[in-house]
Amino acid sequence: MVSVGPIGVNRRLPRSRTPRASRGFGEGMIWTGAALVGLVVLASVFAPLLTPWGPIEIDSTAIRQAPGPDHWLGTDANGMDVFSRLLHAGRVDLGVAVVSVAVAVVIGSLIGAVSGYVGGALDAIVMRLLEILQAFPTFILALAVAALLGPGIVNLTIVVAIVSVPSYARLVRAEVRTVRELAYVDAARTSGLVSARVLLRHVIPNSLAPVRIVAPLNVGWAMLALAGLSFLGLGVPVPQPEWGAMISQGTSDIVAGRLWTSVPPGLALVVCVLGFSLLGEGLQERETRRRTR
Amino acid sequence: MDFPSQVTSKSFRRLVVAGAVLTTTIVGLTGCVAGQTAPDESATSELRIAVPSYPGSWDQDFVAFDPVALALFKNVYPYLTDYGVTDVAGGQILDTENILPAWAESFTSEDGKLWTLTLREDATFPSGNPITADDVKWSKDRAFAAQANVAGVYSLIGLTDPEQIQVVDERTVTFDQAYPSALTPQIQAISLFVYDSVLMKEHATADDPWAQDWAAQNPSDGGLYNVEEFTPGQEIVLKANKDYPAEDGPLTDTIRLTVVSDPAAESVLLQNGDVDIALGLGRQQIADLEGTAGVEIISAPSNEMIYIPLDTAVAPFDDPLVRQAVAYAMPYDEIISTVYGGDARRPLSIVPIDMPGYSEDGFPYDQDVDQAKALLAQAGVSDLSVDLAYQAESDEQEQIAILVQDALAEVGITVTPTPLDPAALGARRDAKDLAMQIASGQQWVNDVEYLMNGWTTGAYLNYANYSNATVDADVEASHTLTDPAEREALWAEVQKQFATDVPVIPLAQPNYNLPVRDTVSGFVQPVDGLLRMKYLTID
Repeated sequence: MVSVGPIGVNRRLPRSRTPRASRGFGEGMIWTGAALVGLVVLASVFAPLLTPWGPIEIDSTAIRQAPGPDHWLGTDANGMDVFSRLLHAGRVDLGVAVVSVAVAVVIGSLIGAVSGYVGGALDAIVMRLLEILQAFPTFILALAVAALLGPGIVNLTIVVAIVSVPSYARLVRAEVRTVRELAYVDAARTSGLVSARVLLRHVIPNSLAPVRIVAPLNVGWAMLALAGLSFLGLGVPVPQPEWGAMISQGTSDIVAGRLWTSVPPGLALVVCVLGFSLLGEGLQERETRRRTR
Repeated sequence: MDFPSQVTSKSFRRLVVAGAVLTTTIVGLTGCVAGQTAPDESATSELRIAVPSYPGSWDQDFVAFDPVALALFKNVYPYLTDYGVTDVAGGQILDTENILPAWAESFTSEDGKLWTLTLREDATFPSGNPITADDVKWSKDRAFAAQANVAGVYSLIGLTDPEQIQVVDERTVTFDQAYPSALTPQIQAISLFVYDSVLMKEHATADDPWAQDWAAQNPSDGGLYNVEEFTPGQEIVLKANKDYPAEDGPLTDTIRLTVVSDPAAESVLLQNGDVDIALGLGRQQIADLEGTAGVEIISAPSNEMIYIPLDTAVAPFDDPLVRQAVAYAMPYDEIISTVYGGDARRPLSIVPIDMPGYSEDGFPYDQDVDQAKALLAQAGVSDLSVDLAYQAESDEQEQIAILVQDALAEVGITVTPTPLDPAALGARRDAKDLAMQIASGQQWVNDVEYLMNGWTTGAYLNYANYSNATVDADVEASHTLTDPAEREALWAEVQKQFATDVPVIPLAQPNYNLPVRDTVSGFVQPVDGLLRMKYLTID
């Protein structure tokens, strides 16, 4: 399966399997994904308990020290403990990714819902605006917005949210346009409920199923985008730990054979993105089965 | 004239680095294969140098912050005088107190004010045109008319009007300074390069009377080396100038400069013997080459200074007590051991160690947290927060910023390391609105007067907005002061004043390190950081 753009709207359908095999495979992906994500979340949350070193604490006697008993994953060019930074960076990467996706979901869903429900000229205008935004390659757009806003955790959250909003808006709009024609929505309208109430109480809640599937995938993408921006120096401020920034700082060590400064954050990123991808894929499998039934 | 460390966009570099890991691997693998064969004996007359960038322009008059170009120009432009060489501690260093004639036969003065330049007979440019007094006059007229770098430098020795430079005869030119200056020999050593005025006039136009467009695109050679070939963005081949008239001519016939923009690839090329010298590598990359078979790291003391100017014009650093507190809080030893691996010296003055006139008198600052806290308390300052700007592309400066952040936190000052890309940093420096920044500079002229001109009120390089009437008056007085003892006494007083006022905190003087193949010899440490290729030989 492949995904293109922030939330993977251009996706191949899963190959058909027998119902039982499909169910087992899908649930397996959900549980594996949840386990990987859970592992990273736990390691990040309990980071201060897992390492005696602070993430920006300098050990000037151990500059670029190889992994050993004092520093399990070695130290970087500043004498900072790589293991501690790795764990604490998870807080930043997970936090920014989850919050930015949540913001994108809320704003994108509202825009899409209103646009799809109202229709007409408003819908046309909103769609054209979203198309303009989506015409830009996503990461290039993120790069431009990040350069405009400057580095920082809040700005990064805003950047990732902004580039994700159009996809959610289009996703929810498409669903709303189907849901608004359903009998129970008609019934709500004819019973005298105002449009806003119909939208909020009946249409939106029943249009969010695709969002629930896509959001975990988007979190994985958001983490990659965040790491990419940080790799290019547009991420978190120095010397705060962040996986992309750590990889960037460690690249010059690769030629010298000091792999410990860049490989661990790279692996952490892989594990995390893989976890969210499996979670999203599993949820999609589950949704496909539900709809098939 | 100072120039900062090599400037490349960090963002761009990071993009390149990502891809370069693969490139480096390929280069490394191919290099390993190449390394299994014996070196090509026929290549021994050719010195191969990897450089990180291609010159932005060939016109020396208008290049200021391009170390590769400036080093190249030192070797290809016809310089009329140049520094000599002296032995120091088993090595050789450019001798800034011993200026020798190069294309000039002599450059003399009876009174230190009126200088007479006599050109050698039968000296010619590669075009065949003779090097004449008219070329010297035209070249310096050009500098004044087009506001070139030389015009600014000449103002330090009282040359501000082209009429002060006169042709006496075909081989003689006089320079009539407004006053005698102790700086003249050194200033002229870096400024007395000449263009082939006959050739340049052929390419001048009504819109471009000084042929700046043509000179930017085409080498103005005829110096120690001539430019035999150049492929923009890729390679420059230099051939020793057989007509060089002085005794200390080039020792290697051919020098091939290859542009390798990725430092990792440059390092691998050196390791595999595909280049003989790697210019422009970062400090850590050079350190990583230590112990590599066939590679030698030449390390020599330099006058490059790493320092932190504090903006004395605005709060909180408008209070000298706060500046002194910061000076006491700095992790000097940690910076030298951590960032430079001990490969740097700590200057106890804004004047670099080894520069004639350097004085440590009155400089009390060692890291002392209690003293720093006491001074802050005395100043009535608490909960201080400040941004520390530095070059975004500099790993060294980033490390320093982090160490400073850590150290100043101990005295209650919150420092935010703020990387700025070259354009933003330049603009902020021009606007002089950086409260605290990390800067570096290398003095082209090894003299305190030259350095101190940069710290007078309103000077371009006075990033601290420092203004002290006594210092201004002392620097003004130094222009006409030529007695060495009097100058030394004057500069000692000025350095004491700086130690009290602390507009700038000197941090380190890193050594000049050059990674070369062990077949390269003859290195002469360039006091101005610009490699003199004429001394280099290859076995």
